[in-house]
Amino acid sequence: MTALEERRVSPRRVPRYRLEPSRGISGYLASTDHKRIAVLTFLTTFVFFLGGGVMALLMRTELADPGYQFLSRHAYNELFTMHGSVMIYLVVTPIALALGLYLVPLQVGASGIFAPRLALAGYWLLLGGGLMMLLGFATQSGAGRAGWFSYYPLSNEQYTPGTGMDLWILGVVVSQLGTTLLGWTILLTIFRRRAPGMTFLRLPPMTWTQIVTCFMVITAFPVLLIAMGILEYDRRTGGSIYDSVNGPGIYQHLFWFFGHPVVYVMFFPFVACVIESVTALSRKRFFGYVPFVVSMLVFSALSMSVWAHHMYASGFAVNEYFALTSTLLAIPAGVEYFGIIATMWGGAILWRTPILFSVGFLLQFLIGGLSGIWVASPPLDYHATDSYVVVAHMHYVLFGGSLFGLFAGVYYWWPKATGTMLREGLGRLHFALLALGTNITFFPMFFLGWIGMVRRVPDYKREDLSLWWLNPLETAGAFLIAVSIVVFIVNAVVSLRRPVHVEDPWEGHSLEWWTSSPPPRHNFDSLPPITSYAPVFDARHGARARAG
Amino acid sequence: MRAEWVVALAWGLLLSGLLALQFLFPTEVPAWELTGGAGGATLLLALGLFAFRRRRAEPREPEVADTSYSTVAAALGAAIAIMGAAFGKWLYLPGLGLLVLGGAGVVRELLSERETRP
Repeated sequence: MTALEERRVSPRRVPRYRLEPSRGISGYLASTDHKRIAVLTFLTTFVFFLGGGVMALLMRTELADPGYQFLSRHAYNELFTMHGSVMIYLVVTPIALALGLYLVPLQVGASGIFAPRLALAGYWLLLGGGLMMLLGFATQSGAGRAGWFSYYPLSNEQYTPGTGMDLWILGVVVSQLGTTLLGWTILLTIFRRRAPGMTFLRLPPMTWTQIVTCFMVITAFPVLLIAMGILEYDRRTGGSIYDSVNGPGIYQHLFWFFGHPVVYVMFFPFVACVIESVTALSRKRFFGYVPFVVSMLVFSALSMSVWAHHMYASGFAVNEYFALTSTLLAIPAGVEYFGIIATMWGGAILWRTPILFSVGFLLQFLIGGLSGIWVASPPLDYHATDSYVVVAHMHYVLFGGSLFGLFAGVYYWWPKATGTMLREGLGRLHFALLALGTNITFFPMFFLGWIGMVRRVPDYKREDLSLWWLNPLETAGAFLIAVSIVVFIVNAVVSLRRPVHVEDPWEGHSLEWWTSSPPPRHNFDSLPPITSYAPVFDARHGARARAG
Repeated sequence: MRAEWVVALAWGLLLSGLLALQFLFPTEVPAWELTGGAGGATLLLALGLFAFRRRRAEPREPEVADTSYSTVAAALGAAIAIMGAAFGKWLYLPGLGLLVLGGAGVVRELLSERETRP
């Protein structure tokens, strides 16, 4: 053996491969297993969600009565900024990608994710950026307080001085860089790691929604990084780029070019949660798969072209084009709704918790979507802008829609990820409280906004608002939401401590249900023939059912 | 449909169509640039995917070490270095140091994996 050969086989240079997962927390935190990175992302974002929820409760408590209760104007500014920032940058967006991180390799029949180190780095950047944003609370100037969009010049050094605002900007950059890396790894997994036979028209709905979501992430998120980089540069140098005549308008264009697609990043994967759970629990194949795929491509492309409807009242955008594209969004959304309802139609529906959340999603997102068409019209938007109408619309989309879709997915895939069932009774209680709380909190906001209650203000006068008494009602609804989340946590703890073991309780359709629950490190020992987008359904029911 | 570049091309063409629509309903220059930039980037991605297209599914996916502490160090190093812009330049040194160490560790891991690949 030559010296070179000896060196090549020396034990020091042989990597410590482990086909079985490493044990212990440290093994978890540095794992390259896509499932572990996804679970870490879920847990981290859930903790951020609880933090953002506490901020919402503080704001709603302040708003329960006219006058200043316990929050100063400064503190209220910090809270609404950080509530929005945490929920959008650190909760709903990364959790949408965490679904892809967990499910995509399983659904395409891969043993792992493409470039797992990139995904791991993405998680740690997300966590680091999130902590950086929240660290602002510990600074003398307080946390960022210019809104989750931080318009210029409000966000410049003159109007929002202090380290907290800088930390907010840098935190957004770092966390969204992490999210972008997650998007790349998911997209490349779909492109490069599909099992033999898994063509694009055999990809399950969740994987298709992840394709278009990741397209938006890789094209829109870098623009946010640029916008924030320039903002920080301007703050450091006293303003030279955004300070120009068109500077504030350019900031808004750059920001909303990210800010509207991100709404769909926070929506498409949750539609897929609903589609997959409705399909399995209706005991049918998904109705209109190809129209769904086409509608997803059109929907996502359109959603890249509507951003300036957030700027109607600013005078920085020509409204006609953006009103047209915003209204056109109703068509692909209608195709998806039609597909979901037609799938349920005539199905032997198993009315378990995932489908309850799915129906909650359909009804509540309908309110959010229809009010979206309404504010897509510039003349109507001029009346509604900066009022609680917009707050209600946004929360019906992101809370009544996305969060309910997420919980449909959580209840549906929990058995896959843990091998145990969440308790059905607690799940129903969770759904009932959350649905009640959501509608008590957000529906009255339409009326309050219509009669002139403005956003981002901690005080109002009884004589100015005839319906002021809706505010304490909304606050009660917010606390009901908090109780429902406690019920979910109890459900999760009970289910893990006293497990009821299951493998495939819903008779799922896509490849993740072919393997054990939870899946092994390498995901699959074998794969079935892949001849459609529901290979496990095909294997279970045979070609005859497929034809039917 | 097997070719991934077709999916990227379809999305890029949809964005290009929306850009074209902006000539019928005139918008402002930043809107053209942003839509055009996204469409162009997607078409470039399609081109890249076409150039490096996969002839067939890989028979065996590469094995990766189960943990990568170097990656964690590199990511945290980058975050700490960036935080230096807010807290002071003194954070650049530990941040960049950690980033370089982590990066070197990742390179070492990748080389080791390559050596043991059949």
